[in-house]
Amino acid sequence: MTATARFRHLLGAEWTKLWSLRSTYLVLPLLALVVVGLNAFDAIGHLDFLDRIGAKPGGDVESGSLDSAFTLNASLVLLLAAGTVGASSIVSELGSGLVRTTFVAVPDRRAVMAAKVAVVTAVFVVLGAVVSSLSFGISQAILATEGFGAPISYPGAWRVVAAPVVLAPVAALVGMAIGAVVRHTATAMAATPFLLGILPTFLSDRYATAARIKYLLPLPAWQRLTNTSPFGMNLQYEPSITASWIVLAAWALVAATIAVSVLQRGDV
Amino acid sequence: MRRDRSALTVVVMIDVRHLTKRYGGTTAVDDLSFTVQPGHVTGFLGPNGAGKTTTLRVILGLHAPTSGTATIDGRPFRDRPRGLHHVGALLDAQDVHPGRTATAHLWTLARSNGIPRRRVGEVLEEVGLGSAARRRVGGFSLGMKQRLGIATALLGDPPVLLFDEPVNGLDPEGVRWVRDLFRRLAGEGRTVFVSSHLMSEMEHTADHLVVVGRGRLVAAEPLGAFAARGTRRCVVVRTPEPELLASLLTAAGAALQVEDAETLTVTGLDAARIGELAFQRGVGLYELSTRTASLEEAFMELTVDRSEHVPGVSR
Repeated sequence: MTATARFRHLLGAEWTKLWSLRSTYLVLPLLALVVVGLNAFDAIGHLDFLDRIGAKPGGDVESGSLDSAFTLNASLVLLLAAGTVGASSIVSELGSGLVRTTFVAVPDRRAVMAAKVAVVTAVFVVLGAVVSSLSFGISQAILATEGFGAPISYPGAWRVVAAPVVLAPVAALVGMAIGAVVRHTATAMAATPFLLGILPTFLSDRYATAARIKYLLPLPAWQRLTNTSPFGMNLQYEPSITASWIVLAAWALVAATIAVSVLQRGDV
Repeated sequence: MRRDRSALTVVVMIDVRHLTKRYGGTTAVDDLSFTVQPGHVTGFLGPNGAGKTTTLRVILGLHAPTSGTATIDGRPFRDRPRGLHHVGALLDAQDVHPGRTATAHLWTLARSNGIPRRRVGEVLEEVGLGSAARRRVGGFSLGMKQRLGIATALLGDPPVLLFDEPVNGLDPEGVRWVRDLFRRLAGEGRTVFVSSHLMSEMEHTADHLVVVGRGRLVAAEPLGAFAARGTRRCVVVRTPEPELLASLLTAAGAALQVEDAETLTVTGLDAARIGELAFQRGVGLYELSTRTASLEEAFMELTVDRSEHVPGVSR
């Protein structure tokens, strides 16, 4: 038996911790199904709409098809689920008192939290990649039956696929950071959806100041990144694509730092 | 890595020095100092609210001391990257996630310390939870959770073990099992530190006692010494001539307490000497009996009123 402290042991432990809860192994597959389903149904609806208006393939019609590759509803569902799973990965441990058992087994708190952040982030990167590529493939295949499908080479199409891969772990990390700070299940479960999903709707696109703040939030940043219209978003204030990637990266970095370091001191 | 216990030269495993812990204005632990040695079961005794749990949490690095130090094997526990090979602890049997099975719970902890999976099955069998291994912990009785907590403590085969009120919720058979387990662990040369608010519990388990009351040290000594010191022997005498006997005994240096018209409680002289004095002066005696307080009474006497000065305890 070795007493060597290896980080991969902690990664393994957090992996087991995550997947040994019903809320993970039932919710995540269900989440994937709902997200892909929402996008597929949107594609069916969009195809019907194109038929009704008698649209012909070509021109900018594929840009509209890309809206079905990952819809706002799907991204909201993904965002809220990832945020709450992230928050519960922390508060379920703090709230149940398990954290004391964990920190007696591993007194290096920072290492425990870093492993947890790494595992949850990795799981949501993979989940984001799976639902995003499936959504793109299925939705565009549906639209392609009548020639409206956009190829991945279409300008901006890769962003539509890549943005959810980033959005899912960002939401999970924000949930973890909130969980680590508030340490209270009900508060974390209310604060996470509020910040991620509701706050953006309070900020209007019609006023430049409000919009400047709004596009610093994860969901609006995702909206900017998945806009493939040649005319842009046609707003008072429109952030650049690069700025929107930076916004998501900054949220990830700040949230991860908070989640890893906030429990470093203090009594548990 | 010093894994070979026979090579250990340090005899003090747990060392608490001038430990004070305040929560806001409340002082939970007040300038507490004691040591715990290997090879014994050391009882950590005190009434509810005496600061036992706080002390254990500070020793385990879960709470930061306001002042003073607590070390295990010469180092603050928080400085260890991994804990299970050094210290096993059961603090609160409820410190588990109710949604995980017993196996999953132990496997996450074992994995974090690089302990092989088969060890999970071994400790579950050892604590008698083999048949409940695949059940969710949320459905466990308190006694089963205590056993799971003890299994957690045993996972890393550690030289130091801490248990906070481990017999809570255990049935009589479980209580006996846990006593035997602690004795066996101590017999293997490990340091076993067990808290309880019940003296009667420690009477059957501990060799050594650390007694606290209101966050302060009351006594730290072998069980026998504590029992002897705490039990103030007194002699009850019944006589038709209490005034005469009282003056005789007082002259011989005894302290007296008048219980009723013919009964005196005497401390400072034993029954034989009292009988001798009465016989010499022809004082009749109806009763002459020695009363010794039980360990439980000794404990109550020492801890209930901590403002009372306790002889032999340096403050």
